[in-house]
Amino acid sequence: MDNFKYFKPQNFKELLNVKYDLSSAGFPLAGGSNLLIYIKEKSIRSGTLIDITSLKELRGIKKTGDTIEIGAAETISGILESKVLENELPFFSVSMRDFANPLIRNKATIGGNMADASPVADTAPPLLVLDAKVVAASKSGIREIPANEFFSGPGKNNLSKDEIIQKINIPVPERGSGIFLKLGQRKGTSISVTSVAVWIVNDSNKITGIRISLGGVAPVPIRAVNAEKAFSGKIIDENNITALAETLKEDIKPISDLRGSAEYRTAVSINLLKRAILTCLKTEE
Amino acid sequence: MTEERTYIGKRTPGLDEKDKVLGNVIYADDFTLPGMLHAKVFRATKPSAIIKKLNADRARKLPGVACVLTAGDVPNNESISNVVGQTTEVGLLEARHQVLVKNRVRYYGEAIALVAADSVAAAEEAIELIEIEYEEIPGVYNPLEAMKPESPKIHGDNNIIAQWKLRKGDVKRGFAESSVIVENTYRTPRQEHAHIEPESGVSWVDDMGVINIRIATQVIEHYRDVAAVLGIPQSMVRIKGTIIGGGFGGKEDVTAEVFLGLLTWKTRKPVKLTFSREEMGYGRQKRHPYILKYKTGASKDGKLTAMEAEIISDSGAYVYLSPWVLLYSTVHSTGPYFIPNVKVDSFSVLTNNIMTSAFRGFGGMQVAFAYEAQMDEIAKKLKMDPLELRKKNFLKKGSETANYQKITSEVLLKESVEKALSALGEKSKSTETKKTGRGFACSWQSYGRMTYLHDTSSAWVGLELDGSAVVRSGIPDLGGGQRESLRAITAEILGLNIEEVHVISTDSQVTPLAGTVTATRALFMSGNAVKLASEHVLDIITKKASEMLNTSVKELSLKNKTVYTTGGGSIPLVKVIKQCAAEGTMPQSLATYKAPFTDPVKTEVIKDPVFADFTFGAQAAEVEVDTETGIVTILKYASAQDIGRAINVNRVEGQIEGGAAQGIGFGLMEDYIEEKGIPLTLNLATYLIPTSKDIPDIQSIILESKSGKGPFGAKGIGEPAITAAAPALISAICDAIGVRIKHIPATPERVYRAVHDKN
Repeated sequence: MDNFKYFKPQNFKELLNVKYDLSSAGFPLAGGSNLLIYIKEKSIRSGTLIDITSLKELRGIKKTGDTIEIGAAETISGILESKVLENELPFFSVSMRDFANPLIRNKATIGGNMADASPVADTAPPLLVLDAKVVAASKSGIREIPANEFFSGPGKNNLSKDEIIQKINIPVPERGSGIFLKLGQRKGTSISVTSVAVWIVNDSNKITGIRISLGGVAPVPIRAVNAEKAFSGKIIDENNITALAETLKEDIKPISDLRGSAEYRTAVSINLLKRAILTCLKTEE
Repeated sequence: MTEERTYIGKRTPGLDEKDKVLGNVIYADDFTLPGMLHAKVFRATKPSAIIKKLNADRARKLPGVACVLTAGDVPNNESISNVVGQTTEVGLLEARHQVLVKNRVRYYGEAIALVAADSVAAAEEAIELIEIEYEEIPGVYNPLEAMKPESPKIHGDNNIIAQWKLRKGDVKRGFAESSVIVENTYRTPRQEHAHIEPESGVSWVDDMGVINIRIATQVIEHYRDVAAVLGIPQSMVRIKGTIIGGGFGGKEDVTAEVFLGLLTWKTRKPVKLTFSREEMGYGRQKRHPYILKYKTGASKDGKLTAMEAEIISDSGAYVYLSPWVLLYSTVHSTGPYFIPNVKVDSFSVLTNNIMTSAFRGFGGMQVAFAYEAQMDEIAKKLKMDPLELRKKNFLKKGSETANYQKITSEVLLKESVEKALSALGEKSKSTETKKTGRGFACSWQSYGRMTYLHDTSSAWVGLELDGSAVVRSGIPDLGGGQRESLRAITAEILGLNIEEVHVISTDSQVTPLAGTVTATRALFMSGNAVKLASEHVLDIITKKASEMLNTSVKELSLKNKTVYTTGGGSIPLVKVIKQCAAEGTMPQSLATYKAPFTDPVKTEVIKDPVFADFTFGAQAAEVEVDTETGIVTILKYASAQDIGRAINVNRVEGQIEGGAAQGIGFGLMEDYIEEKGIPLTLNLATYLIPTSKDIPDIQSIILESKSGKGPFGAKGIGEPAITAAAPALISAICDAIGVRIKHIPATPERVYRAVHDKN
């Protein structure tokens, strides 16, 4: 740990300045549930840990107009307890119920989970189907990156070296309902083998709008555009859902690893998608 | 006969439960001494290689580093011990071990050098400065490959390091007489102990020159190993055990004590060594993975006629306890059933995988998975209820096992299964994608060590002048409440208030040696030793009291710190103690309990009694299988065990629940995976154990036959509690989906494949 420094900026401006100065040697530290492991594993060997936990610009869950803004340093527990989300967008907080375990949920943050860019980040599929935007801030200003364009590879995101995530903006959908299904190898503290989020708008049984996102089946969390196309405008029943869900194969490129084979991931992704859609349609009825 | 007991069979309060919950216990790693050094182990990163160059000069020169030790610095680096009962049919008759690698690395993680420095950071940095060059040599990672003559050899000229046989009757005739025959091959995983507390200890040299090692261990007798490695008298090494944060057999073989002994002996300073979680993975023994080929036959009316089995265990790169684990497997391989014709051949095979050794169940679990699956499959073929089939074949008191051993205690298997199944209540309904199923499994598991080892346990009990009592027993408290049981036994016999009995345990130079807290022997052996010593103290007291009261000993009883006569007279206990002290006949006793002894095993064919007795029990589960994902949810669970006599009901339930939970892990998710000897599951994010969300409420059902060889008729429960869990779950899954999983753990992917390969 001698190779590491700790710095706690006093305000947002100082944070942006120090991130600019340190560039890729400055590591934002919120919950530390990923960062401290990388340090322990020595995949990060030196740098400055920038403590962002108490900056008000990175905190809070509020609704502004039609947008819900979640500060990047908000913890998963904070999201689960948020009255704003419970009232305005329960889908998102419900989606976080199986995130890791209570200890980690108390430390891990939404910004950290997104920035870490794991293919199985559990905040990602729900945010992707909500068309959320990652608000990136730097000395030179702020920009919005659509969640779907935020990831560039396993463990890689599209932030510049001087940028940090300030908040996540979620446009509150006018209609529809969503669900997030996560498949782990056990019930508690599980890392997703694969995960599926869907958001459906439904007019008298006909799907008029659908967004589908998956984790664990590609180098990054993805939108399943082919499957979305297949389901759009369809009236779903037990007879056509399997064939439609099979189109997911065109969207995903799973690998085989310790948590599961590519074949298994493909099969269960399709099954979870079917289950997610049927559950959503039932809720909509 | 019903006896009124004050403590035995009750829920006696715990000594350390509250402190454990509050985090007040001083575990091994919590202990520090002034001027203490911190140690780290430099370990191999190849599974099979020759060390071409090893240079620790840069590490030695690093500021803060006190010493770096390699094989050449170890006085007695290599040890050889005989493997019992083996003849020339197998190649190796010896188990070879080394403290530090001299030149050939045999598994990934093998210890090569030790560092002690004045801080953890300096020790870690020094480890990184050690330079090593390897020449990789061909290794063997599959025990079936390792058995072939042409495979690379790990030690000597044969990788088979032990084989055992059961020979009873004539299996050919038995199968010829069978109307159904079931043949299957089963595989079980390499399970990790995954105790919460890492291996850890602190060592120092005291003012008498004795090397002291304060360590979390199941075996304080390892002071002898430290002395042997250092070449010093055994009397000059002391091991003081701690309260243990989980062991499960993982702290049975030497953990850190030899490393600590070496570093303190070399530096003359206190040293602490605590393994990291990853090191607990690649540096420590696991449960043996098994391949079990079973062929079982039965008559039309469900009588077992013959069983033939080939059992292969992967011993990893060193022998450790593999031959004994395999012997347990072999004896238990028939299950708790009478089978007239039996032929079993079992082999333990060296590979370049992580070494394997003791783990709760000690070879009993792997075979239980196979013999219970076979019973279910036979029942299915015969279209017979699986319990009906078993009832026709259960061993009984007086039955002879396949190693010609008579069962001397009660066998309450029928009662166990019935109670466990009825505890599950109404069966939950299936839906189209969520199939429910129910299953059970029986088990038998020996308690106490193998009888040819001539196991003994000593204990000292004495009364203080105020009537309180001290018990000294070397037995470590593994968390199972071993000290509490001893306290309850002394309090019961001497009629004392339990709070007035103090138990001093687990210190090789203070407490009489009681042997290991392994093999489900602690209560059986030390309980009997403490009972003997307490009874002797009672004799001293009643003898003296009879003189003082002028009555016969037979008319006296000791209760509430008072000696009563049947005629209504009494005398306070303290008065009797004072009289004893005045006369120099102290109310104290050092007693040794001897387990039943048998002759040493002479050949690979096991044809004599090997164990003192067995615990019989059953576990039952109801599961829900999600056929679209393969996820198994345990809805209901019950475990019924005849433990002979509960000494402390709370602690018996603790073992039954904990055993079920660890057995559920073995059945559903735990697997230490290596790819050509390289470990892939080095932390608890990849090596999965059940969480509280994965374990349902476990209903513990205690049966008491009072027929065991332990104190008050107790049997052992530590290991028996785990044995039947996996086969019960697999049976329930089979009931739900109609397919039997033969390769555990039954991960969601394996279950999913089973569902879909069927269709």
